[in-house]
Amino acid sequence: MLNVNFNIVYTIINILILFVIFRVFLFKRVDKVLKERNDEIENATATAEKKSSDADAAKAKYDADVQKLEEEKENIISESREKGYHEYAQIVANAKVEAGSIIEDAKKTAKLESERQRRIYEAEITEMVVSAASKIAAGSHSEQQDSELYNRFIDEAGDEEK
Amino acid sequence: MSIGERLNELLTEDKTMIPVNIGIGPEGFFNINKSVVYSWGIMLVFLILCIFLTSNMRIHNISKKQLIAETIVVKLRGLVADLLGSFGSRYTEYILTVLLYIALSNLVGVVGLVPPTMDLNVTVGLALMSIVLIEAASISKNGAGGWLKSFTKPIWIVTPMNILELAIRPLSLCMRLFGNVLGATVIMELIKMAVPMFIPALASLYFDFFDGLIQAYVFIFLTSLYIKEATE
Repeated sequence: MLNVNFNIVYTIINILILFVIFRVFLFKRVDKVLKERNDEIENATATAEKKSSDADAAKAKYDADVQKLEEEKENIISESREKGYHEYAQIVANAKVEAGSIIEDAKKTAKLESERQRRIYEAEITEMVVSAASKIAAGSHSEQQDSELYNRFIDEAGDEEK
Repeated sequence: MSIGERLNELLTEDKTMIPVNIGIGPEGFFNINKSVVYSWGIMLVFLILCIFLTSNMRIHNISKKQLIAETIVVKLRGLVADLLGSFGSRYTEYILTVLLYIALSNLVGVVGLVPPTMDLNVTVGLALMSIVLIEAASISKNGAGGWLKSFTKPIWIVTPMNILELAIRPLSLCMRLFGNVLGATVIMELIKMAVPMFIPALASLYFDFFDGLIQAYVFIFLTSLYIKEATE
């Protein structure tokens, strides 16, 4: 029952072969798959982290751009507002000057016109006076006649005036 | 047949299965025992099982058998990881090989075969490999000088004890396994003779499954513990 012999060596060989069987057909194969899966997960994590940081950077850049554009917009608006004020003021000033000169012209024209009218009246009155004087001088005249003449003169002058 | 005769037959039967005569050494020294032939069967079973479980492995959409294979490997590694320690973890695969071999060996009693671990040659072989591995681990960790010095620790006076341990450890390992399996088999035979119905099935649950697996675990537990102790 207790005889010990060369079967010890056979057993050792058996165990070593079994060890190789397990190593090649179980542990290595399973470990390979586990490692590949692990690598893939790590890759995916790294990629995701990179993408996330890229996105953060892009967002920061975008925010900065927006900020810059906002400032630019403010600048343009205030500039054009200033320019607008300036132009407005200039236009108003020009208009004032122009209006002044127009008024001046109008005044001059009115003055000339009134001068001309006055001259015409003067000429007419002179004529009337001359004709009246000549009539008086030509005809005998009573007090009544003088009064009539005077009225007629006034009437004529009033008619002319109209 | 009396109980005594049955036991006598069981214990003194000729274990030789394949006679090998190469003309040297004592007669029958190279004969191949049943236990070795059964071990070949066990190896074949494991080979087929491994190839079946690990064929067609994929990274995604894994099949059920791949899930089983992965679970087995991960769980088994976890089982011995703490026992072996960080340096000893390189011997995980050998330890698991021994665990699976002893476990299946002890379980063949269920189908009525004689467990290979009931042959002293098998347990001596396993124990020799364990002690060689333990000392090799110590040498590869501490160097040859460190390994020799380790015999004088913790104090010089225990050196003879430590040297004796070189023989005691494998002896206790092989005798424990051999004795347990032999005892279980003998008791199972007795129960089968006394109560042929039902009880043997229940007893087999204990002696073959529980005790068999416990002994497999104890063997690798102690080996791992010695390796951890030697490489700390």
